[in-house]
Amino acid sequence: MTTRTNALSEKQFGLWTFILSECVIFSAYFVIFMLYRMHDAEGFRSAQTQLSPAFGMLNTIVLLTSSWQIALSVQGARSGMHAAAARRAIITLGLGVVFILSKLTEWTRESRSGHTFGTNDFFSFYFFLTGIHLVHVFIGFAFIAAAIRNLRGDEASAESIEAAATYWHMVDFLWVVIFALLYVAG
Amino acid sequence: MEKTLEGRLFQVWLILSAVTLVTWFLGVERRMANVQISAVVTYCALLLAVVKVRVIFVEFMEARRVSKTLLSLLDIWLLLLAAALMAIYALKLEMPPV
Repeated sequence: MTTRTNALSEKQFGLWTFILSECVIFSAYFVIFMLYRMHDAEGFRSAQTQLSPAFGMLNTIVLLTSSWQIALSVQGARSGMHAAAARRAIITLGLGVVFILSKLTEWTRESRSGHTFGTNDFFSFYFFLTGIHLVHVFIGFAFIAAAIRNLRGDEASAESIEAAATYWHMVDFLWVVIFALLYVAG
Repeated sequence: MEKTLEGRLFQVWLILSAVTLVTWFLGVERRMANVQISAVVTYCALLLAVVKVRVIFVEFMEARRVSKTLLSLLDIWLLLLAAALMAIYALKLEMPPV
């Protein structure tokens, strides 16, 4: 696809160290979730039926699409097509907004049905995991906004959008696991 | 931008989306199934999630291009996580009461 690089730059090393540490932290959340699920398997199964799998599926497709768009943005920036790369990054931001609106709609729906953070262990995990993930979506917005600014500036380079994309893909793959655990696995 | 690369990224997105639809379908079906089928769906959902995350590592994050060691570290994390989740499920391990 593209030429291989042998050594990580200092910035890349810092970013990947951060991403790997996020992986470890989220692993702990996922493992604790599973341990609690096995403690009250029937209760979790019953609570899970209150969630709409369609919301989980649509959110996953939206995030995957945003990941695809930012991957295209990176390729555009590497080819020197900075304006096109910025447009792809803006589309990514737009899809991120769609994800947030969908999540807020789902939370509102659950709250109106009487399911809140304190309802039971399943909903505590549901609001915690989706909430902490949403915080990462907002952090991703800051990365992408900075990259768009760079792409529109006089000293545009691919470095900024590459970093933003790497972070955004992490947001995406963490959601892939959350979708499987909260909406599908039983 | 190379057209072939653009096409490859589109194919990757298409495959990931298709796998997501399969996962969703499994989740819908599981709700009407018994405990044994539910367990099979759970393992399938976790395995499909592992496949999707691995594809994101390689195709979207270009982890192999950045560093082979990095891809190995990500793979180890992914395998350990999947193994831990499946072992907890299979062995019915519980969180001790706090």
